[in-house]
Amino acid sequence: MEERIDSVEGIRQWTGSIPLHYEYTAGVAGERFLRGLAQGKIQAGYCANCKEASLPLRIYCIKCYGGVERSVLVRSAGKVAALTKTQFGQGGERLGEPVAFAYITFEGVTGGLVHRVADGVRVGSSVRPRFKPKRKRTGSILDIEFFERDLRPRTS
Amino acid sequence: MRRVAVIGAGMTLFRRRMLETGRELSYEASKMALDAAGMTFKDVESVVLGTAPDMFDGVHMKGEYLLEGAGGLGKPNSRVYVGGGTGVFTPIGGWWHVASGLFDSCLVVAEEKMSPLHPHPQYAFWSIFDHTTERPLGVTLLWIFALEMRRYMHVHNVTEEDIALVAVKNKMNALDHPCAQIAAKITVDDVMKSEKMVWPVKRLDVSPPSDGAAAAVLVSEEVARKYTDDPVWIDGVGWNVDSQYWTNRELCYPAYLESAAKMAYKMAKIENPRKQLDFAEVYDPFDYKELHHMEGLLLCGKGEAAKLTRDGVTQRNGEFPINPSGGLLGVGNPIAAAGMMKVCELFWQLRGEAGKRQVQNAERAVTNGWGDLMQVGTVLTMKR
Repeated sequence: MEERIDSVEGIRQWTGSIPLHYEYTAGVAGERFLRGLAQGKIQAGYCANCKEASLPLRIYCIKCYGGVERSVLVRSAGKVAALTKTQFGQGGERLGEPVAFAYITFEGVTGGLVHRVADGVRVGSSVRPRFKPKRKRTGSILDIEFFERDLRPRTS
Repeated sequence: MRRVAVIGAGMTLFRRRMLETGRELSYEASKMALDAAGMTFKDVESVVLGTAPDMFDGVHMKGEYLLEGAGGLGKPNSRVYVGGGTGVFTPIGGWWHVASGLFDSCLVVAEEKMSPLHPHPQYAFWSIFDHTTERPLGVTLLWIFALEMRRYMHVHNVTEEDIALVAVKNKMNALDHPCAQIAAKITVDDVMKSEKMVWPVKRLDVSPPSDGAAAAVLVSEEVARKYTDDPVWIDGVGWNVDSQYWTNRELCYPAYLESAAKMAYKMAKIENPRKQLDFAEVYDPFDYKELHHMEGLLLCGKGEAAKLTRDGVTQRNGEFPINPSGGLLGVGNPIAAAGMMKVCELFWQLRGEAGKRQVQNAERAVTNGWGDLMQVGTVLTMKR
């Protein structure tokens, strides 16, 4: 008795696909967030009850579950909490150049963002977003090209 | 088992395309249900989510995805899924949680966002058919529903006009539903002249794809008494599943639904459903399915539903109203949320909170969900 099929040539088989395509709405909060990016702004939700800003922007607070109607600009520099470099793309293809991704937090904001980061960024680095030129922004997370080291002198 | 009460219900608008994400829809329906109950998310001990194929929303592990919007973070939660029967199975899942004594409260939330999927949500079902005997034929769901409708018409000598009366009634009822997507005053002639899709199924025989969410708050008797003097009780639940080989059963009668109904009726001590119940929210993604399901729910004899419809018995002000909400044909059909909408309708009707849709003296009712490849039956009875 064969325990495994070594060749499919001797058996009947079929090929198939499910031809699906998706067009997602960004949602109430997502719409607000993406419109902000197109203007070169990162917005966090602000819960008036918890007095807390959080990312990603939501229409509800995940602490108190009250509605979140306000958003606030994230003005602070980001801080790299974790960093990785990938050699492979989503389909398993080898990338020509490794791409660095980081989990970035912002002072005074719960949560954070994942994004590409420039060379020279390390865990603990202070970073800021590099936006595309305004005419090239579409209202997408990719309106931020990457985060790069924030070399501005600290003001406080 | 402990008694389980419903003390709050809520739902979003049903529309062809909502701006809200699935999470946002879940939040809005959940918040409305909790506000109605006088509770907050913190008061909820457990969450049950109901949502149909991940392929509709285009989000894998949709239960986990939606959970945050349903206030389920950090709480015991589960997702139930039995195709189109999911909407009624969701509160059944919540009932398990509370009736078992494991939890005193459970928020049940059903969501579907079908608009992202192109070219049409029906494409998500391509893989449901048997790959050896059916898939190569290019079968679609509409084909097999057309065959089922035709079989029902043939066996019971029911006409397309008889069936069209259901669409006319339900779309009219939906004019009084504030969340309705396709409420309309139409005639049998309108249905007959609407676009032929897969004969005998015509455009106005069919409910639309929709986005939406609906939710309810289930609690133990002890908790119910703290929040309200007017709880509505879930007194019977039943479910049953037949083979996906739909060619192995008599298409003119949903025997699996009868089995599910008998399970629920036995629990609720209902021996004569037509006499002991006051109305029904019957699953109606197609107009013929209302007739089919009335019979499977034992609300009338086999082949009798069309006559009851012709005689006006099933009108909202008739002797036994069917789908006073407007049903899926009028309110819309965001799959899991559509079944849950019917559970919400039972709650509002039995509490006397249905406004213009109110069925007079409604004290006891049944609803059902149906789905997958025409073989899932889910049934729930409620009473004041």
